[in-house]
Amino acid sequence: MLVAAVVVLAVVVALLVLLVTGLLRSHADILRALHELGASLDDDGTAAPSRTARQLPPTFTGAAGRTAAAVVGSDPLGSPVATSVDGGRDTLLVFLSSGCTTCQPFWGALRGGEAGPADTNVLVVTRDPDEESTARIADLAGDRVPVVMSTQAWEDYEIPGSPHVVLVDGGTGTVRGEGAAGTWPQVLDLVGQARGDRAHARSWLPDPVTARDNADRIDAELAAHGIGDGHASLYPGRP
Amino acid sequence: MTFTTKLATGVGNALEHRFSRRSLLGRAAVVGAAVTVGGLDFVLRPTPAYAAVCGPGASCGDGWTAMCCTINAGVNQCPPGSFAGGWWKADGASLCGGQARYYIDCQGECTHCGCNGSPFCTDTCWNCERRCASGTCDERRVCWNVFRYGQCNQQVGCSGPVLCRMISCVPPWKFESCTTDAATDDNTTDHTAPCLSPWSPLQSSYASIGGAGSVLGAEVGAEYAVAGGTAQHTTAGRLYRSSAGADRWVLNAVLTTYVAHGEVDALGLPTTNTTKTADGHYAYNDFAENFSIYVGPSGSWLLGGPIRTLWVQLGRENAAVGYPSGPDAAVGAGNWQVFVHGVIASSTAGTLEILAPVAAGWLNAGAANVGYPTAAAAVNGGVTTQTCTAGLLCASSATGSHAVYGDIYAAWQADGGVSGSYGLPTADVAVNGGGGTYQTFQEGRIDAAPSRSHPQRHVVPPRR
Amino acid sequence: MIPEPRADPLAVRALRPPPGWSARVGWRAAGDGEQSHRVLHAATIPMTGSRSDYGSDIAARLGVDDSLVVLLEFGASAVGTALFAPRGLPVPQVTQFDPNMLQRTLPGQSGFQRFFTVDGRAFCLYVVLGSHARRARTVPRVHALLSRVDVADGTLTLRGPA
Repeated sequence: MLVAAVVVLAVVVALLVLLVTGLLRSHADILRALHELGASLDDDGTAAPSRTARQLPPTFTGAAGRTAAAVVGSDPLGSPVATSVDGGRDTLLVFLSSGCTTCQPFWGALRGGEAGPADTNVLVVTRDPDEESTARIADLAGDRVPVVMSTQAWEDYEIPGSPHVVLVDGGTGTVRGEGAAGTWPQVLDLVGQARGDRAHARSWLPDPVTARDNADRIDAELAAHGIGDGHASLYPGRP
Repeated sequence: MTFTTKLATGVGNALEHRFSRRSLLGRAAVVGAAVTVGGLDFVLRPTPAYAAVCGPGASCGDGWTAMCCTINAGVNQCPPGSFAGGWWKADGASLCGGQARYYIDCQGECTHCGCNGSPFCTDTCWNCERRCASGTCDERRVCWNVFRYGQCNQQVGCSGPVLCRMISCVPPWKFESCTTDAATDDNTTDHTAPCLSPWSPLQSSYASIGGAGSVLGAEVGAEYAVAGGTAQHTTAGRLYRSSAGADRWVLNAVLTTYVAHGEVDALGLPTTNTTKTADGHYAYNDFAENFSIYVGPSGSWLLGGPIRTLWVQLGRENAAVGYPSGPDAAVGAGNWQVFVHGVIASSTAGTLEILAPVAAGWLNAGAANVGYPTAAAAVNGGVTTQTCTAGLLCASSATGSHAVYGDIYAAWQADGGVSGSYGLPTADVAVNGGGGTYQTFQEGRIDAAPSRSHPQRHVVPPRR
Repeated sequence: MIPEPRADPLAVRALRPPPGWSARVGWRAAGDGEQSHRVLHAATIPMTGSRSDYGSDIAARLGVDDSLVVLLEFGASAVGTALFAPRGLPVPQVTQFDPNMLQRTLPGQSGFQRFFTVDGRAFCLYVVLGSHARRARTVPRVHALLSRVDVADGTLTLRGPA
């Protein structure tokens, strides 16, 4: 009887150990995944960019050619700001957040006065004050970085996450290219390439993050392989 | 990427590989490296000397306007021929103790022509010449930028360019004809010049009393060290701060005498502000080394030492001698000072008042002859007497105020003095024909030989 | 503590800079005893967030084809004074720009400043051109901007084209 009880308890303990181990492993996987996505556990967001973010290849993809909307919002001091992106020189919209680890090099470069693309206005766009800390944004921007806090702009430009850049053609008021890059110099390269070859602005090096979520690109690649709407392979469970 | 960032990241990566990826140690290393290297970078970052003294944008080519004190003999206010045209502030300025620092543009004036619809006259009408300031690191522009902030002296619709900038830690509408319409430019926060003081406890005190709007007026030059504290010149006086933290000012009326007598080194720091007396007729300061300076209708006089001590004990101007009316004078082993109603004399015999009516006799005789008082005056039967180290002061309404001293005094005393046969002196000691001295009394005259060793008596015999 | 400028809801809704312009309408940062009034900044470059009511930080970043327009409101006590006697929003002419009519005289730039009154409200218009030499090219753009200035109903904003 006693032996049986011991065996049962041992089994229970073993199961509990297995359960706890599994939970720990699951927790670790979640943390790792978050880290690789650039989420920071640091309160102040001052940690170095994650390895994944630093290794992101620079890409310009997306809805080149579509009409660009004016950026309307407020500055970090609370004053309403509106910026038209047509009728003047090109505008590079840099969508950043205060908390994202991979945004920090951008804030640093801009605040440090690193040169932007030639003959291009650079405008940082963050989310609205009710989604961002205005004090934190003001600190990050300093007195040299133009910032508009506008969730509307994020929606207008369908920004998937930060950092993200959109180059607007000032002459036509249309998007010339958009995408992600890990560093400010990479952004400068992208803008240079975009100006050098508009045709390739939509299809540079594939971005494993944005490409995964880009429906247009997925459709195009499937079509290139003869898979269109209603193709049987898209519905494996359907008879 | 800056060197600091690279180094911090490198250190972080190295530790990440050596330890667990998200270990606390790794993160601490990154933060620590960043702080350490960033701190060194901050500490060691080369700063141009000019920027350290005059702040950024100090050269003429930078386009900013020079400080007024740079071009106005150190005076931090609009020079003659200019007026406050407007102001702005820089918030959180360390040069004003973290509070707002105010900048008042002083506009040049137009000499002979109007503005023809513009707020500015043409440069041919300016009362100043466009130039770069010189002589210090504040080489900013003078009489150059045609611009106006617009809150001050709005009754003046036509002006010249900005001549210079007055700086204040006190809002300008408190001492200039300006409105409170806010204007800010934080880009000028650190603009300064050698003639402007950095923030200090003394500057804080100056601001707390109203800065340029206070009785001290505008600052002149920068704060400087004096024995036992610091000082700041202003247009209306000086402000002093002792190392113990006491702030006191001396206004120009008193300051002239203070400086003439050696200022802080001789008299010590002021222990009072320049203050008016209760009757409003005099202004005075007290100083740490037992000195006071009183300025009023009788002049500007320094009091010190035992004379001041007694005068203060007697109630200052409420003492019987009243206000000082002459300088301190030293004769022999003592000194004395004249007051409106008498004298205070100090010697080894003590410090005593010499009041009317005997004061006149003492003053006529002089301390060299009659000596210093040894006791307070006494009144007996309408006769006032006061003994001195070498004689006696004697006064009555009938005979006047006279001193008896020397051999005459010895002979007179031998005869009984006031109660003797000669009676009271009726004149001061005078020189006789033989080169000796004599003095007349109610009942006779006493002559003294030149040697003063054989007084000749009874030239005029006494009646008794 | 530095007071934060207030937002102006009407200005937010109505702020419509013409093509090529960025604009901001805010209330000036006022400390103790100070009165805050509206200020409009418009430039052909994006706005930075620093506090400079006459836009010195923006002016310092202007390129040769850029312009800055600042419109500041003053308190009621300014109305009727000699400085603010001119009436109506001035329209700066090419010949009125002066390389020295600047808060900060930077090489190549030129400026224009006027004080005036509109509807019983006192204002100052200050314009900076990135290049005095190219003023003939940039001043028309300034005119386009000024044509949208609206101070009706106690506001200060830039409205869209009629």
